[in-house]
Amino acid sequence: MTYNPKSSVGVSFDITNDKKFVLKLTSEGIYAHKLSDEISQDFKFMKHLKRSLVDHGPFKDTIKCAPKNQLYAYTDRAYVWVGGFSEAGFVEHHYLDQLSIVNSVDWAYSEAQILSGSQDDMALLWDAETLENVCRFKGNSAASKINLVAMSKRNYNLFATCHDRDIKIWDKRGANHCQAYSGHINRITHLDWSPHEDHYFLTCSLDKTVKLWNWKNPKTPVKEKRIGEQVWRALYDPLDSRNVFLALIVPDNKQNGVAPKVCEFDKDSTCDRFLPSRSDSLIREARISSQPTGNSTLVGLTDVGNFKCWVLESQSSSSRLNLSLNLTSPIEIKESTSFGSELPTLSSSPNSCTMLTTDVIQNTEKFGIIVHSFDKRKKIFKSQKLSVKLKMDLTTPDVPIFSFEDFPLSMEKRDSYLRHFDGKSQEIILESNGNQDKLESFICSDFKELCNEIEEDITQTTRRTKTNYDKNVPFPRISGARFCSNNYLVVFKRPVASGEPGVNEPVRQKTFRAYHQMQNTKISALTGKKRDKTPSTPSVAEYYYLNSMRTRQTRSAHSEPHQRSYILPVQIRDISKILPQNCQDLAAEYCLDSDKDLGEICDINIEVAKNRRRVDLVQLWRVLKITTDPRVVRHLHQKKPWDHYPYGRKLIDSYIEFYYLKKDVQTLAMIYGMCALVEAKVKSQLSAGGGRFQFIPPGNMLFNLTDNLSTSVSIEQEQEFSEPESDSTTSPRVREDILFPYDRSGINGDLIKLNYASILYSWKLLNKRAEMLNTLHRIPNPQAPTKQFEVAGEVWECAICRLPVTNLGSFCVECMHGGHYQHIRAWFTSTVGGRLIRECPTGCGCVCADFMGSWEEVGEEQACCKGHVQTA
Amino acid sequence: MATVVGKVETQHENMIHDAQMDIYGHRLATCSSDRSVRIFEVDKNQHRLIATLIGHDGPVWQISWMHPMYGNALASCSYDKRVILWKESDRGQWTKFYTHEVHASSVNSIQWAPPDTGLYLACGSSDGTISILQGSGDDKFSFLMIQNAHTTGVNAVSWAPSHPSGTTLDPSTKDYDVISKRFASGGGDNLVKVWKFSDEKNVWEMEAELKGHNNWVRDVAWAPDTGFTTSTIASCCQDGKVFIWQCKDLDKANWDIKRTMHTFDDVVWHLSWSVMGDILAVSGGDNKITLWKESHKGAWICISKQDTNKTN
Repeated sequence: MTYNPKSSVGVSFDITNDKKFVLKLTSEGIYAHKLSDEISQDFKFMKHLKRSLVDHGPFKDTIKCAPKNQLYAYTDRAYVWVGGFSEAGFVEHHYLDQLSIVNSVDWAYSEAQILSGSQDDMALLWDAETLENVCRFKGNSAASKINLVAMSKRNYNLFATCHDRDIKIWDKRGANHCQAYSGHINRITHLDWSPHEDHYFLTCSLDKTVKLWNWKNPKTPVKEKRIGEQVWRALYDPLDSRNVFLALIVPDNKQNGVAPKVCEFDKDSTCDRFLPSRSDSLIREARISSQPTGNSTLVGLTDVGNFKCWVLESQSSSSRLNLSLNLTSPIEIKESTSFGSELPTLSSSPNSCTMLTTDVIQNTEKFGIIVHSFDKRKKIFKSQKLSVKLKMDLTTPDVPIFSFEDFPLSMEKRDSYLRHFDGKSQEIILESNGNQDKLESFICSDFKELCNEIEEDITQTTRRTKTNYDKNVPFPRISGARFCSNNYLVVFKRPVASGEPGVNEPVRQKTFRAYHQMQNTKISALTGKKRDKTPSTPSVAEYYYLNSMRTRQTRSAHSEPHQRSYILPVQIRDISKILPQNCQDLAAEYCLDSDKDLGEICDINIEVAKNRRRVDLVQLWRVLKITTDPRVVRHLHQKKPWDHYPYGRKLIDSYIEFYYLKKDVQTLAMIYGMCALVEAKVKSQLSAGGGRFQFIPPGNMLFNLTDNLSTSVSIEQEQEFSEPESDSTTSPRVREDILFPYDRSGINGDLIKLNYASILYSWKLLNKRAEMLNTLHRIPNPQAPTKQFEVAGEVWECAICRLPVTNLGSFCVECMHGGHYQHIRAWFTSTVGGRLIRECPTGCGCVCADFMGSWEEVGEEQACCKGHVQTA
Repeated sequence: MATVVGKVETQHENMIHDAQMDIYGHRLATCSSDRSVRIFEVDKNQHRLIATLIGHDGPVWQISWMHPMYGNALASCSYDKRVILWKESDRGQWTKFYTHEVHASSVNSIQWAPPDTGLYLACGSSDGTISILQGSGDDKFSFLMIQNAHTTGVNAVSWAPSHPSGTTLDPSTKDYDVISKRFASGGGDNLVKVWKFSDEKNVWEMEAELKGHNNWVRDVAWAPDTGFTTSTIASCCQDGKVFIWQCKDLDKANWDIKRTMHTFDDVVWHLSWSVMGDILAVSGGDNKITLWKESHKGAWICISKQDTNKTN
């Protein structure tokens, strides 16, 4: 669409602060229009004093109204004019001198300052009261011109300048720009800061895209949206963060006018709505403002000079989140060229205006402001809600109550802020004299400003500390070896550059740096850019940036074979020859079953050792068998157990020492386990019936219901989760160290067993592991595991002992009842009246089907008998 | 001596920073600077890629397998300040089920505690803090932070075995806390610190500070249960020294340098103890991997040298 420079239509307009007027800047002067629901009235226009305005061309914000006062500023290319406006008319104007052609102006939100951007890439900041130049911001190149300046609505010190296709973000307080980056492919037409979130802004351009940026991550836009047409304006809806208004430029061949679009920027939805428009005119400019009634008004300036006004209704609910757009048809406000033109009647408007319920009271009752705060403990930014409560009684307005919800600040800070807020609000209450609008304006502007200050302070402190950590990141390891439980050593090494084997490969750290620098020069040769400095120690961030650049280069430039680095494969080495033999097969066949007779156990193990041709183990087990000899035991209470075998204990001692030196965990654990079993038997035989033992010896009936059933069972075979034994005052205290060298020579037998048990876990020999854990002497504190993690949800209780099953368990697939492996097993192998029990212990009547009677051949996670499934 | 059983072509696009097998020895996980973690199933000489886990924004430094008692899960930490926990669903799909983002800088090292200690994950980060995640069984985690653990960043963490060696030997005592919740950390302030969990105050406290290094401590490794009564920690340093520390009684925390195991020519990056606690694998900047064992007299001898620059 071509812009007709000769027409006298307006070039730019803006909505005043009190949202009642629209000021339009034309080549003849400034017009003021009243924005109201029904009628429009013209006000007198003012002719420019010095010279008539030259048309600036499109896309420039040449008139801007101040956000707080009734001031406006406009530019006529040579000067910037500031004036005041009220219902009575234009008051006065001054001008600010500028050195070159001014393209755009904007007001600051926190102070009375004006920012103007000019053709020679200078942005000047003026004080609106004294009309003096506060600061100059000069860009780097004189070639680029500033087309647009935009102050941020939330971060009051930031502003953006658009230079044709690039965007620069500046901090008002400093003279240098914070960020500069290229934004679009074609000319940028508009930039709008987000009124909802900090640091976000939208840009739209002639390249038919609208992009959402976070100025802190400038490399890529956060979101990009392809619009079919060139976009003229992109505006945020001040009330609803999801909606974005776009004013489109349509090529000439389209006959129908194209109305602005509303699109939801968050989702990539295609449900953009076109605002209804009936005439053929095209919207050239648009502004959006929020009304105190809780709606947004979109005002568009057509190319024939009309204003079109869309009112976006809310559903009159108090919370912002429930806003939905009810778009009404536009109400055309006709411009009149002279005073007292006929007022458009209601009938000429397409729709009757709906009355909007004003929920002022509800709105101000609880006002939520999002404050960004920094959690020092967790060192993250959090958005918190600061809630303001106002009493509903308008006649006697009460002091607003401020409270922090989930604010992560310390108590003192919170209190100081609250005091500050209270103090300020007191003043405002006094001043406003019950004026609700004033109260509200206080909340909207000053309060937010204060919150912004808080955030700025916090950001300042953190910005300093945040960037310091990068230098603490150590240079990463790129070769290493890890032992893994199954006698494997996993090795990974540094990549080598193929093509030049061994020559360029860095061997030392120092040469690695040199290599790195060499790579730097190579990269610069590829990209043609000069590197100003070669870092002596590459920081991690730099290194990875370069590395990723390098890989990107290699992908695109296939003709550089010497750049490719070859990642070595990870090697898995079997080091079982170095480590002592933990023979998995042996472990699978070893037996420590406490149900069997002790002599039998030893026999089994002797056979196993014979099969594996481990003569040393055969010998060992023979010796251990001796310990099971009843004669040894018989003399225990006389404190002379080894009378028949005087070298017995020392022999076992030396075995233990020998295997310890060899670090043969398996054999050691077996020895200790065997000893424990024998001890248990000894204890049981010595003590007189009753009482509680640490181990209930095999063959004893578990389910003597007259005894302390649960307690006696729970001690036994719950491995580490059973209760500690209490004083068994009835049984005589057995001095174990007479019988067996437990804990002699500094070796803790329990730890060895635990170590072996974890190895068995890794081999998935869970039954053997259970047997081994059964022989532990010291049952660890049972409180500890259950305190650590609360087993949420279903707790699987053992049917017999009613304690939670966390280790080896067994349950019936039919009735899903079960419990600890040992308990269930004992249940099904015990006899009552000469007959094996086959019913489920819970009494549900479920009968163990196809019960083979044998629980021995149990592999892990297999069915031992058809009805039961082992779990781990 | 050490035969190569398998070679896994990881297809990583960038350098590999860690590789570990799970408890059963069937799966291998590798992590790399290309921001991905790859899981392979390894069986004798064959391997196949099961999953590629993408979720980090920066190079992934370390991975740690969770003990299967608590589930089939893997933790990975990365330069992007995050620790991500990945879980395998029933159908063999790996998804992330927890993201831990409380650090202000790169998380350098993570390790799961031994299963008897509980479900804990220690994460050490370059912002000087260590966070310890504690899990209840249902995928929910709470965490505690140790502030200012090391002034210039934490480089490594390593858990102590659940049942410490240095406790009382009298089997008749009933009231003792066998499960110790301790771990060691090494940092850029040249210190190795031992931390203990105190149940009453519900915080992690520093139990001992081990001084002796002159440069950044790059890795610490707590030797597993040996059955012996002394606890051992190995630590390695940027200037190539590896120290072995021992403590006879953990509660008194009298750690001494037992000896300097060796001084290497180049920076030493990683230490790993074998299961029985007798062999130490050392790897460093010179791309060599060496295995060391303590001889009877107490000196450490190198029992194997791995080939360095061969590209086979």
